[in-house]
Amino acid sequence: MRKTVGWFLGLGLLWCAGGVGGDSLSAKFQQVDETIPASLEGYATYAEMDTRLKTLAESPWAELSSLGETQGQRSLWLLKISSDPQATRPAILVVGNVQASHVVGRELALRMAERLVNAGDSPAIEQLLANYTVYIIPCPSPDATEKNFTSPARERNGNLTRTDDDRDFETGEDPPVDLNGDGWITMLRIADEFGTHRTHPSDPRVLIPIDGKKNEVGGFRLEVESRDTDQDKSFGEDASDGVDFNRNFTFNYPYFGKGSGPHQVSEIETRAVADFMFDHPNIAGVLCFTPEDNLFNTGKGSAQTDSARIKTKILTEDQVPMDRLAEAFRTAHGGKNAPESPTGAGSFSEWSYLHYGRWTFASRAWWVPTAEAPKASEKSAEAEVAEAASAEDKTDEGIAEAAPPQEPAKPATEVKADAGLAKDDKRGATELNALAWFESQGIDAFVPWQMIEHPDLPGKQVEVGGFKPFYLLNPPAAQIEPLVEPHLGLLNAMVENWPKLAVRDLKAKRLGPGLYDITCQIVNTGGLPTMPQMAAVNGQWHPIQVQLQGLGEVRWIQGSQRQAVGRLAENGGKTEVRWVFQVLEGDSAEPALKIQAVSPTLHSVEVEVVVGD
Amino acid sequence: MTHTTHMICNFSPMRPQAKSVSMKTLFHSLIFSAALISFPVTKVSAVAPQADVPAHQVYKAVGGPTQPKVPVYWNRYHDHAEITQMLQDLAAAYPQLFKIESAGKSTDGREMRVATITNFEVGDASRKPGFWIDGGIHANEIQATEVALYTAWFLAEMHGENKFVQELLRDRVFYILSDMSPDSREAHFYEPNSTNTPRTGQRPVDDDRDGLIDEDPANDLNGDGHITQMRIRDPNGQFKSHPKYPNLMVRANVEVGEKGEYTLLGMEGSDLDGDGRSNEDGDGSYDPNRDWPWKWEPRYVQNGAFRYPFSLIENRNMAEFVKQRPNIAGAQTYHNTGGMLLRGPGSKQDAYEAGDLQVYDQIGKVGERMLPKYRYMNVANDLYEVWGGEIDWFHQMLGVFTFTNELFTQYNYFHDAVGGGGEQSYEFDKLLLFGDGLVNWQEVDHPVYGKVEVGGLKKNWGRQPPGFMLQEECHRNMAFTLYHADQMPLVRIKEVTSKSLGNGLTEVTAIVENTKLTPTHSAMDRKQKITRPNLVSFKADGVQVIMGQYGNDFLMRNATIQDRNPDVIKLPVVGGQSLVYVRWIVTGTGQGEIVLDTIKGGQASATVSVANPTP
Repeated sequence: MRKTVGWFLGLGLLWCAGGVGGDSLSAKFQQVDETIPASLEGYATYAEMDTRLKTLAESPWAELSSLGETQGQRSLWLLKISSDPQATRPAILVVGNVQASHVVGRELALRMAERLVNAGDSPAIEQLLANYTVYIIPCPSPDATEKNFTSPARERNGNLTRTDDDRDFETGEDPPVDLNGDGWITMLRIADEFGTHRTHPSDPRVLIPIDGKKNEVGGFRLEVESRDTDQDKSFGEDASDGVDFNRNFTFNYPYFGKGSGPHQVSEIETRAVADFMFDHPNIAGVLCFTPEDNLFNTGKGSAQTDSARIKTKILTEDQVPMDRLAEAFRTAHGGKNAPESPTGAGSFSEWSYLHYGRWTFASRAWWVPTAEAPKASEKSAEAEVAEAASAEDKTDEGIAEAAPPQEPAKPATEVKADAGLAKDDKRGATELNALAWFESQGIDAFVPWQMIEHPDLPGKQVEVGGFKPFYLLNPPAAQIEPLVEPHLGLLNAMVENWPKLAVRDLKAKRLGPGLYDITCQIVNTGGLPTMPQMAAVNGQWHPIQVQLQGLGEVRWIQGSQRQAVGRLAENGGKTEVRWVFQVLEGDSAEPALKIQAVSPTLHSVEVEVVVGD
Repeated sequence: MTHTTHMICNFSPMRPQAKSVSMKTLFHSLIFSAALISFPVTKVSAVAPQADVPAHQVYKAVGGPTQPKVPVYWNRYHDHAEITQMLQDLAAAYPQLFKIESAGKSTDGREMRVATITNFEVGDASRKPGFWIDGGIHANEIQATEVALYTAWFLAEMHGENKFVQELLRDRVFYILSDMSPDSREAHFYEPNSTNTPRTGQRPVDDDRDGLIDEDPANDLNGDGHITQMRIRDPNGQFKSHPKYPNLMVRANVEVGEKGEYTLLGMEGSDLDGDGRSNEDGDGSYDPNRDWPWKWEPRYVQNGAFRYPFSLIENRNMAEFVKQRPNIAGAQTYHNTGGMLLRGPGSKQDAYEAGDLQVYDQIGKVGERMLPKYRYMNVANDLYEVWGGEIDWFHQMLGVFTFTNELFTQYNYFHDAVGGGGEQSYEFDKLLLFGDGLVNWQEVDHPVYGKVEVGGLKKNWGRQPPGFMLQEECHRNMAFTLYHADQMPLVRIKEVTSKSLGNGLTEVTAIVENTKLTPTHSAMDRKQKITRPNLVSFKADGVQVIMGQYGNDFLMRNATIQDRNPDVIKLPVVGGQSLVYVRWIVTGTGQGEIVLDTIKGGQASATVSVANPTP
């Protein structure tokens, strides 16, 4: 699957070992090597996704449309799935890889779509689609995602907008470079007496940050595999990586940050997705795939964060129903020792809850599982090679390691704290576990440290190595399928708990000639409140409209024909609605009245009014 | 309508000697902008009246153009068609000074025309320090647009007869978008509204989130084009007519035995959608000045915020236009009301850099002199908090010094204390407007309340100056803005020296000067790395640069050495009214050129002779 395609430099897509001047918008041609990294083998490319979506769109249950076209001329696909795609029904939105390099998100969204559309055998899914709509945006940032399907492999999250990543007024002048030509962008470790890192005592491939409290000294500093093309002493700091969909939203927006764009929602992709969501008030819940997980790392609010003017945490009232659904998901998923959720400045999922005001479930879906603890005497072949290769420059306890290229994955795995690290010292635990797990799976996920001559570090001892991109973030393709069911289960759990309107305790009395008094309770009998408390706070919700229908000309004594009802708590939350009015014409016959309660996120309910005395 | 506005002059009446010229002739000659040519001119002595020259050209009222090519009444308000015509007339009359570009179209498809005003015959217009002016982002704040328009008109018309304006347009470029919210300005003119509406734009929004869009606006019950107040007779009501100004409703003072006669029912309107509320879903609902990215917060924090920053097309158009012009170094936005010269920040959780505040303070204090009873203030601490306001975007994200003027102050009524509530307006209306500012209470049928009365301030009175004060408002505010524009950075190379150091080495020193109050880079600009540094390059055939450095005095104490590419020195800033010394040590002999190239402060160059005999 090797193909070479030309791209215009101006798109900021390219590698250029010699550095690219910021203003050289010339139509200079560069080559992009479209070799798919081994770590993404089995994952659909954009073209393959396109084909799969178009196949799905042949189903009468599915409707495919584009929310817009990206700078790379790719469609922002939206698949609408429902037993009647023309109907407007309460809806759930599923969004695939909101972080482009988290490609498993796209794959899961696609597979969920395929399961939903081909669900002849599942009564639960049939039930879901008979009453609800599922919108799926499998890939909200396709240009960025596609960059990951090229060589040399590097986790990339930005679109094709030209960006000056280090804010030095030059664009893309110092990208990472595959110095050892192995097709992977990994790390450089540079021998440095006063460096920031040292080797892990139990595996010299693993570098750990020095601990000042223990008066440790380093031995290495770490940089991304790159030159210092612009000679500014920063390494690989400006590849003009574009704007990251998942850093471009309004909550906790990182101004002037790398990948965050010129301002919030500045990009075609973010604007299209945000506008679609604002334009569809029938969306009540959002499931998205992102490292900012809130299913295993459920948010914790407090009275203090509840009362803050600017909300930054889940509101405590929303926590109970969210936790209930999350717990069911965790059981179905079965994952253990989930990594902590990174702080998602400008992220989609936090925006979706805090600013868009919908139930939002953010799933990382997968992380490196906990490996069986290896025996102390065992050492991987790579470790031995690495150790041998760097034996001569061992100044203190050991050599290198690999910091993960990007992800701060931190499973709370047990460290084998032999040779020096205290038992509670978890430094390097994630990496040790990952090395062990990949070894147990027979997956070659690590580039052993290898000495190179670095053109910008003459005379320095420099090695290239570390984890290969994508492995720590995305499962091997063969392990994706079991992840589909728990996520479908989450959709089903939302539907089972969906707020449900009922009109109860209806009393309709004639108080006198032509004078009527009608009262009822509007009750939520479902397992979720009619809206998150956050929606009630931020006003991004459509209240329930309760209408008395069938009236002629009346004089209102109390109330109005239509009345708005706010948030109703789950399992019996209710509010009273009352109408008192005098019929001004045709007062001989009893009016034929109906009460109707409507909200775009709920199934409407209608009852006839029988007037008594 | 458009044409009459612009072709009839508001010149003072002809002096008696000219009466022989029929008004019709005068009218025609003015129409063709050739008044002087079409009159037979008789040569007379300088002091004697000239039969055919209008008096105002002989005895000029100072401070304005003698003979504008595009005559405009500045005591009236202009609608979209008139604004368009005025801009096009100015562009046609002054092609070397005045060009119009569109920043895009509004929600309803109106062209958003930006006037670019500079002396296009001198220098590269796109590289001169630029000044941005906009008005009317809140469309009901209607004189804001007039001030911006007056400025455009004044610059073009005065260029030929005023040295300050000439130099300003030689060195600077102005970008003026007089009308930031053209759809709503038109709505304010031609649809029933009050002085407070529409503040929003015309994008359809379901304000009350009931699934229906704009279904319950205020409605004009008496059909007079003004949305006023409603009152209903109520012997037990709390309000009564003011004893001196019967149109004004005041609370009955029960302590002294007064009795109320009315209950007030709020703004003119009714419940059109049967939800029990009146006027809850009209135009827009959002506030275009809460749509800007710096410290943007959603509407539960900041009322009026829409979906996300720049979710409104008018603002996005304007922002695109501005971002493509990094030479913009100063900006002014006009609003009403209250007589204020406002600077950011808008949020108490935000702060401007100390160095930037000094610049604001210097300019703001001068403004207080130019605009009597206008107060120089900070939005967050002296007014109210604004998250996502336009001026914070300008300053904190573009690094551009920006003021908002809140036009018109009640001080203008009687030049005494500000305040006094509605009473002053009604007194002023009675004594100076002769009742022209009010709708007298009038009975109408209300669909819910039965017989009610509507009346109160007209939509064109309350926040706007009356006609006879409008021109003064325009001129004083323009003058402040031109002062600010004049204080944008302007760099020059003050002096170049060349000195032999012996051993074939020469020291070349260039003194770079900024004579104005504003630095080439605001402190925020430097902090966030928004605008590239100023470049000072040295180039001479046969001369090699060995070292380059810059510092703040000729002794080069605390100087900075630039190791990479020393022949192009990157100056992070040239401060307000400051010098920077740039020095190279070179070898060789030749004629050198020093080029100073800044984004916001202009460009300059100088030559230097390096004539050092090599040993």
